[in-house]
Amino acid sequence: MRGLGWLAYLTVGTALLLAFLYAPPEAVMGEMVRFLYFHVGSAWVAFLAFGITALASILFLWQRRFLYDQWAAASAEIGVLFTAITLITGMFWARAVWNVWWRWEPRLTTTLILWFIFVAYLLIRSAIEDRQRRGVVAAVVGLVGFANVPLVYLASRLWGGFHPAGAHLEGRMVVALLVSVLAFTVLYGYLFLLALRVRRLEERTHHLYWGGDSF
Amino acid sequence: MSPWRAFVLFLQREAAIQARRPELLAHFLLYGFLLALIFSLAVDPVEKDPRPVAAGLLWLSYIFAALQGFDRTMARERAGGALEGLRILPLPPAALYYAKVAAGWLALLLAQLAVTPLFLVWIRWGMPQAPGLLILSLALGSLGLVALVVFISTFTSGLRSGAGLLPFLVLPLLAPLVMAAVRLTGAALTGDLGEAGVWLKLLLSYDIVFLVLLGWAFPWALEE
Repeated sequence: MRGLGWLAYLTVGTALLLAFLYAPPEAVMGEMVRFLYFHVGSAWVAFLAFGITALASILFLWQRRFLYDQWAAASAEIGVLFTAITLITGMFWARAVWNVWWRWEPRLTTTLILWFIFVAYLLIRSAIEDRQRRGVVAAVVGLVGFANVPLVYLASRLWGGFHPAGAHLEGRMVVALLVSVLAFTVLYGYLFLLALRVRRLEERTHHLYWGGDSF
Repeated sequence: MSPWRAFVLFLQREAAIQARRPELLAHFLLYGFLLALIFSLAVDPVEKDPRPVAAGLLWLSYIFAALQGFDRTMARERAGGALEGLRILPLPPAALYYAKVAAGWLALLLAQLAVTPLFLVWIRWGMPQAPGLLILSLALGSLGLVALVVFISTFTSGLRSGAGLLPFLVLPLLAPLVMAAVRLTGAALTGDLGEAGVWLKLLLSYDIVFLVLLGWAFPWALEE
């Protein structure tokens, strides 16, 4: 795990250098294009994290092993964080390029709703004491929230879309983007292990303090 | 016992409870009237033209009414141990879910039939341009709303600190329904039906997805 931590520092550092020094400014957006490397990286991690939460939720409902519940919870925490980063970097970019901070646009709306759903997911986790019940309720909320996403996307697409679907990137930009996505993925892996460890330690402290195995 | 027979029995149970004490209807009516009143005062129809936001305000009233009504009734069922009893019956839990949705939907529709005309009078709208579509939009929107709130309130009622969580869970999941229902109700009020078909389809798909998915997942919501 320590190795992964160093790898995360290394790749994120490289990604920073590439994004700010190596990649050129873009023809229309100028320096604002540099947001892209972090925006796309964190958006990718956010969706990866929620995907893993959904997968772990299914596994938990099916096999009822608490390990899966811990995976789901750890991944959801990271997902909420990176969704927030995605939204914030996107807003700065939008202010510069669209001249507005926000638009009710499919991807923006969907991402925001997703963020609210998983904030509620974390809230409800913290409200339930019983371990078994918390796992079940959280898994169901996570899955229902996930199923809602295509509907939100469809609904907001009917309102009209502005989000750039693809961009014409020069060679060096592609390199910077790929490295940054890789770096964010490594970072996700490291944070995921850290979050799992925090959960295990919490459980052990609780066990030492209260005894028994209910948590 | 066939699932259909179980559904009918559960529906009779809901009807008996509501006949003895029409708590859901009373909540929906009172909440709907009060919010319609407050919204009418808040948008000041004499000064400004409130009509562009009327459909949104109507739906806000119904969403809050539904949250409030089900929060109360479900907490009562849970506290009395009724849900626990229903859970251990050897009957399909989905039948219980659909019966609760049907009963709640009917109560909300009745309340809407009373509140909507009064609200339209208060904000000085007059007759909606397409009354049939207005009723259809209220009915389809309420179905999805009730389907979601019944499900979520069933499990939040089982949590000691769960009552305050109901809106946090319901509102984000409700977003696509709100978009579609508000547009469709707005179209029915103004008679501008250009996009109505699209929103109608979206509302229908929301209802179907949530009714099927939540009916299937209801056993987990009932779990203790």
